[in-house]
Amino acid sequence: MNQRHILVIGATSAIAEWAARRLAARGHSLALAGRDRERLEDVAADLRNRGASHCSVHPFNAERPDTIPDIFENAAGRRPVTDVLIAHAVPQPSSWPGEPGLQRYIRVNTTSAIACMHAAAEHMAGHPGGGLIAWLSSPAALRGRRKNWLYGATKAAGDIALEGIGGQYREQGVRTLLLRPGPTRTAFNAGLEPAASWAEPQTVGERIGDLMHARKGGEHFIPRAWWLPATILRHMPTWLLSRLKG
Amino acid sequence: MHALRSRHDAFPDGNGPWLPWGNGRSYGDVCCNHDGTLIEARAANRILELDTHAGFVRCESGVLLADLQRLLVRHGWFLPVVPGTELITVGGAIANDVHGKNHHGAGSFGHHVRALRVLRSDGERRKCGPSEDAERFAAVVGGLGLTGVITEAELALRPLSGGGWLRQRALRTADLADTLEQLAGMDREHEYTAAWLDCLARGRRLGRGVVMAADHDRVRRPPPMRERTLSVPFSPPVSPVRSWSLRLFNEFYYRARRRDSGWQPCWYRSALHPLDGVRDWNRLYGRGGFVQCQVRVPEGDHERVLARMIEFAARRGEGSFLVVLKRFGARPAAGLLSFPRPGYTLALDFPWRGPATAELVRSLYDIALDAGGSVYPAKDAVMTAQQFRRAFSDHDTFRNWRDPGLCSDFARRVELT
Repeated sequence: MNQRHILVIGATSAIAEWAARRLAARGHSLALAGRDRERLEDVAADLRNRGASHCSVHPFNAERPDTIPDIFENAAGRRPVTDVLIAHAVPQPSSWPGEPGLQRYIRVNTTSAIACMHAAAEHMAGHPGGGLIAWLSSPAALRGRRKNWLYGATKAAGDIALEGIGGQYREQGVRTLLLRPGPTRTAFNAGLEPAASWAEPQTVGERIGDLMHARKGGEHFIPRAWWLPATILRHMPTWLLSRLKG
Repeated sequence: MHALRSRHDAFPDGNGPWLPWGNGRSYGDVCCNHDGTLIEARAANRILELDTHAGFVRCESGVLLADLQRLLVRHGWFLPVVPGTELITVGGAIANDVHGKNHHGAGSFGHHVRALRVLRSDGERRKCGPSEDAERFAAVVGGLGLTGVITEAELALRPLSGGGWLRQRALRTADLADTLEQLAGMDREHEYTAAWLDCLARGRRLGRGVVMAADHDRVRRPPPMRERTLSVPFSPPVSPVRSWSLRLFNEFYYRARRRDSGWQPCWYRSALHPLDGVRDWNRLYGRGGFVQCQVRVPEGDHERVLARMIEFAARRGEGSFLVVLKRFGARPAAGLLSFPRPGYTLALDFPWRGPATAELVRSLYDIALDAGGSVYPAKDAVMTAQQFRRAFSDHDTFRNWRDPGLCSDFARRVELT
């Protein structure tokens, strides 16, 4: 199956948008889910102009994970969803959010993400062409670091869920793709001081688009060079990690 | 830095002054705002409407011309005006009213803007165009980002009869009179023309160079498989651009050409944007960087004035490997502060060696201004307030359209506040 129907969740984020553009240029049809309908409509128009064979929009509130099965149902109006990119997230709050804030934060970053993965797997299982679940995780999910452990924890839960879902639905043709972009110049990181080493959202997004188009599975660092520092971080003893500033 | 993520975003809260920022490719300080905050518009980059029958595109202002052009070429259309680099945003192209090698036929970028929307610092959104609120439009086009943040624009397009290929021809010229004559002759027949000058040649050879002409090719060919990109990986501690190395380069560049190259096919990016093929080329000037002096000299006495400028620079033993001469067409300027107006434009870059370089560039400005010419703000880093007032007679009218919440280092320097 060459032309696929791809659902992008969190489609107004810069990285997801560039990934979607890459997929649109390949002529795939797209369904976009995101918070703001007005912005989604602009993104959809852009993707149609860039070659998407079809593009629909589905407003979605990540605080309401119970609406996720409906998104899949609506997005699959004309044809079943064959691939999904889960890209919505909220950055680490600058101060402790309190108990209700924490629940809300985990609901957006973790609960809704895992619900998306599960709904996607259920939707795609047994399709003739199989399915791909791409999950935009983070190097922050590798270890708990002092500056972003809460964000990292919400993402790490998603990583484990993705791995498990990949195993559970393997025989039904569902593949999983774990993406770990390094620091990128996006609004998501607007609160931080950008460094020269930061990647452009276009570079990161286009690579994700290429990986999805090629139906790659497994774990990918973007840019690839992040693999080395990430591997060092992954195996660093806790006594040393806890002394790392930043 | 504040990021404008979409055309729907509100004007940022907080203390200004603010300045809209595209891709930061202006050579001078029109895109700098040290006393305030930049509003980065790159993320507002959606192509909202592309009409491949009527030939127009409506997009947000942060779209890069490179990105847009790649898409247009696929659909058999082309931007009617492209500058030397396509790594600039649509908003930046309008705010600096950029021009290309086809100004003699097509005018400047602003001439092809059918409508645009600006967001003012008081939160007001205005739509304007050549036939709607035309006075505001004339202030926004070439308005250096000081009249509001351009959020979206509608551009007319030019159809391509073939694909993205051009045919290009280069003619070697013996002196300035020859260069000017060839340039004017080529303008009558060809869409894109410009001349490279050997800025260090003096005496009889003063103003010798290579005149280049190009047209869109009607023959359809597949696009090139791979486009080569070179890159300058670091800034050398000492600038390799010296008078002896320049002399060597210029002599070689001039002599390596045949008198007439004949017509050669060339992909649009290498024909119209050769410098985009060398990433970070500006590093060649060393850590000090460079300044460019781009001026316009009105037609009439232009040969004498241009000769004086080239000689003045050559006498100082300073010069650049890219000296470009181009004739502007007769079309009236699109904006109040638009640089392209009838006459000849000459661009020279100099490695920055401190106040002496600034003084040299200002002296060159004076030669052009004395002849009734003007200076290109997008390239300028040293112009004085007095020189600015001489270059742009409409500066007072422009002030009425300024957004008080916006300012740039350039505006402060030339007292355009």
